[in-house]
Amino acid sequence: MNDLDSLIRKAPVTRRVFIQGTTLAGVAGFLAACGAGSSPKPTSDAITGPLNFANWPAYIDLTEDESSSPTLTDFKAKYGIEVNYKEDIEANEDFYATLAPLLGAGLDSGWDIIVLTDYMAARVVRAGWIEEINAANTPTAHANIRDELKGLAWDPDMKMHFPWQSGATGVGYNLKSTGRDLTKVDDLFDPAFKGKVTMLTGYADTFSLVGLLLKAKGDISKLPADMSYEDAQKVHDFIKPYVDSGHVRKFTGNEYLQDFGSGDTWAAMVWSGDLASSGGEDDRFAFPVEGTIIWTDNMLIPKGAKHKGAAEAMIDFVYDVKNAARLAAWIYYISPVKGVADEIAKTDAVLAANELLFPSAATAKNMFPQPALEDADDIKWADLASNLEGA
Amino acid sequence: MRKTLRSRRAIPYLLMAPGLLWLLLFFVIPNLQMLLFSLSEGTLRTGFTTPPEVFDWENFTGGIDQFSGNFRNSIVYGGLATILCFLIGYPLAYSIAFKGGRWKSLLLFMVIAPFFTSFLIRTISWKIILGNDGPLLGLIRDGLGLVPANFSILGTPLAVVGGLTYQFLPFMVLPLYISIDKVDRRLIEAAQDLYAGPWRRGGAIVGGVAGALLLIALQLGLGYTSATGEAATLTGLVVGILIGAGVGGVVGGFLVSQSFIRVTFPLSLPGVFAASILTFIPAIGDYVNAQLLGSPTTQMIGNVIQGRFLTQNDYPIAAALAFILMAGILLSIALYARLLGTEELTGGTA
Amino acid sequence: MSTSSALGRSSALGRLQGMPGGQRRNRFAAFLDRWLLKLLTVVAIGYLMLPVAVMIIFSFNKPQGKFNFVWAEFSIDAWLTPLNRPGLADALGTSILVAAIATLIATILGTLIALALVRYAFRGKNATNLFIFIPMATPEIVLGASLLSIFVATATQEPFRSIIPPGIFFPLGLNTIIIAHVMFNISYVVVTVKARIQGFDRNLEEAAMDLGANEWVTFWKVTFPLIRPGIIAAALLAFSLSIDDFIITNFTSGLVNTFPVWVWGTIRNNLPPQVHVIGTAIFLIAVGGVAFGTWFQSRSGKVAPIRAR
Repeated sequence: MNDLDSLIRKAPVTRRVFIQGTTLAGVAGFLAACGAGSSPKPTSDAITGPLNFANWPAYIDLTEDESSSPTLTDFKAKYGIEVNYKEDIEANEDFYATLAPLLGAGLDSGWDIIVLTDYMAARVVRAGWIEEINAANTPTAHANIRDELKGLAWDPDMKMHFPWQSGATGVGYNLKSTGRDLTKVDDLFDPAFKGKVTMLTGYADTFSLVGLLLKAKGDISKLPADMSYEDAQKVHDFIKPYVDSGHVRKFTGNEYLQDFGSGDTWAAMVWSGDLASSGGEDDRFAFPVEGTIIWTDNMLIPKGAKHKGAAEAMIDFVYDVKNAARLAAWIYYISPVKGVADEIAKTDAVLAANELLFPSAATAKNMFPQPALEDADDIKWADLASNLEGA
Repeated sequence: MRKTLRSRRAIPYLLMAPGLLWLLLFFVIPNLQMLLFSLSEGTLRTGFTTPPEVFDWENFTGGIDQFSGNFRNSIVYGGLATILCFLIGYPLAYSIAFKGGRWKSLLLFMVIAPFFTSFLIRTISWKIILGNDGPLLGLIRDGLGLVPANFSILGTPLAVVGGLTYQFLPFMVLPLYISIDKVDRRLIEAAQDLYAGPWRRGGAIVGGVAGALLLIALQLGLGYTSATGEAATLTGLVVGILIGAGVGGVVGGFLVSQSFIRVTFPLSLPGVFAASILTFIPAIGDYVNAQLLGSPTTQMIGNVIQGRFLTQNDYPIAAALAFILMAGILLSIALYARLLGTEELTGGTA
Repeated sequence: MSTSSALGRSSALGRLQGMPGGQRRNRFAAFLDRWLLKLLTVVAIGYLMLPVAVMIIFSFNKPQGKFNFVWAEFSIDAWLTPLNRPGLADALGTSILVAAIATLIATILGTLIALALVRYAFRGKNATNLFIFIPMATPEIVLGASLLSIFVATATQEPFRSIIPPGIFFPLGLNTIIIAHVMFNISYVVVTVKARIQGFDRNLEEAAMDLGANEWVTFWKVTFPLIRPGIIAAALLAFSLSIDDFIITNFTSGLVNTFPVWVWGTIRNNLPPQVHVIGTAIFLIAVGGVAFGTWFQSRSGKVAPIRAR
């Protein structure tokens, strides 16, 4: 495979680097606020509509009858513009495929805000396809973002992106189907669940999580972010027999949700907030003892966006603690906004204690970022994953 | 009153020009572009370096090499689905054509009725039917206890082949119906007057052998019995063959008569060929059934093409695979057309 | 003509000649002779209808959770709010719009080709027949992939990039879906209309011409009314192929959703019973349309001297 693209791809940095970069971020943020640098002129600071917002499904709060979103309603009321909110992003790669030819040719993508996971966000930022976010228009966001999310290598001073939500990849199961609580990644390979297990497509989640399992077993010595290709090969070789025997029924994106209800999937690798909001009363999420994978989805303004001012207003709007709390309480992922736990605790102490939204210190200690791959490895890892997935 | 000869000669070309132009622009040229991509290097991000600057044959050789399993799945599942479609479709088409009577229109209508439902929703329906809590497993697992508690149908080759068989059955029945309906009944009557009677023993033997072969093909193709035949699965294979032979024998013995084997079937053969091709083509290129009903080990070449184009943006390999698929199919059709003439397929005469 | 089949006759002969074996076996054989084919037919038709029935039944389900895969309880809620899903109404509207436009264009273009192929002798006729057939013989995934290739090439590759302004073929959208649908429909229209024209009596046209009508008048007064049922059939076929197409549309739709593409996207996260409601509604409308068409044709068919073959 000649994926030259991957040669340019730079992997996202690890969590440790985030924290090291934090002090620098303050300085750089100040410089950005002064409008330093040779950045291209923003398309427009004026807040005009409609705001074209592409996001992942089930990633925004809804009213009881699911006909509208209070966050969007309030935003429209505050700024007097329409929001064209579309749940069009089903996978980073699929969405990238719709953007790449346009942005590559210097055309407007039609979106004012898109939401991509770390590694894909880094890729489009490096490609130069993203507008700078005007710090003057986003004071709330700059003030309220959680410190550990700042200082990424591909955007150290929050000029290009703001996180939408973070989440964890762990073990999900349907208690009625499995008949017991699952606590380990290893439980996914319990022979009793043969043919009823699904994993996630791509290497970022599956290889990381199984990597943690193999580390616990002593087969691999490194954490997911530091795994070598040989380690990835070990992960592949470990999973492969389970695929061939039919133990692993499928590799999925969000689709794993489908089969929990119908009993076709009993246990799966899942993203933390999804099961909680799936509506199945027996669906459970476990932070496995071997460790959990953490990732972040980020808001970005594509180059040439026609309503950049409105996009910045939206970014600032969702970093308001009250708005962020409302979103977090519905989405069940980890909010990037400081003080959300306290805000939620005011009305709902049980939710504020929910590990899915606010992982305890112990859980947080056992959370690890996805691999930070160098170019050549990315291709090889992707091939390993594609070999497992059968296509 | 009549136009001059010259302008009359231009008329058919003028009539065809807009439509053929459309096909040129949006069928021929796209395929040429795809051929270019299939020999190219690069990605969406970097742009593609196309021939004549590079000729990356690696996309073809590497593609076949890397995805031979998917090609195999496509051919095996598409082939099995076509055979099953034929076995279900022929009696059905025969029955409608010869025994339909006043129900003929209604029966034909019911054959095409599934087309009035969205293709995806039909596949989703199969997901419901075959699912773990679905009616089928409810019957054979919970009701009759024929299979163990964690037995699955979804996610197995059986589900994929079953889905394909269902989706493309009407493609088989309609051409078969047309060609069987065309058979001149006087020929059959003549044959019967010449004492063409039932063909019990012959039919039973043919049916039995066919049934046994089908079961062997199914068990091997669906992976229920490995080709090496381990001890445990060998029993399954033998039982399967016996069942296949038994059912095939009964059906063959009672349905096949001498006049059928001597007159009706030979006369309907062109329809059989056309129908199998019309069934096999969409079946081999499908990816929806494998995606919704299958598992990682049942992915077909369509899944790879789809994924490489729409998810991985790996156009060169995807284009090469698509090109191989198309070339393979067109070559087999050309071969067939040579053997039997193009008219039957292209509808030169109806 | 007698419709006595190979089967009916053979069983009668079988009884006349006397089968070896006892009376009971004879009766069993007679029973199978009589019922086996009917049984197979009923089973096959049942198999074809089963998923349709499941779709209709599940449109009345009130699923627990987000996925309408398991029967929970009877409810007509979804029927009362058939479009109450974000994006569903848009997608359905797009589907109908695309199908209508694509049907119109493809029917015109295809009918013209069919007329040329049947009514005129010309050089290259066999080649044209073959050329029309090839798109039908090409797997849908290849058609979709090749269209995606060319559409992307108009934005990324020379010489297309300098010749073709952006916005026509790229970004993908309504334009490209319609182009694709017209493309795959043309061949089906040609084949359908051709089958209809073939049985048609050229003497009628010649008679009209002999009576002084020019070619244009002859076409509108004689030819067109005669082939109209074929055109209607072709248009119906094109419409139904278009409204249900998923594979090709998925490659050419970009971010615009048609109903099938919307369903494909939504089943990753939820499968509301509204999907089954819309599916059932489309099914019922189509069934009604065909029933009406058959009735209409059976009325007008008595006057039109046309036979399919």
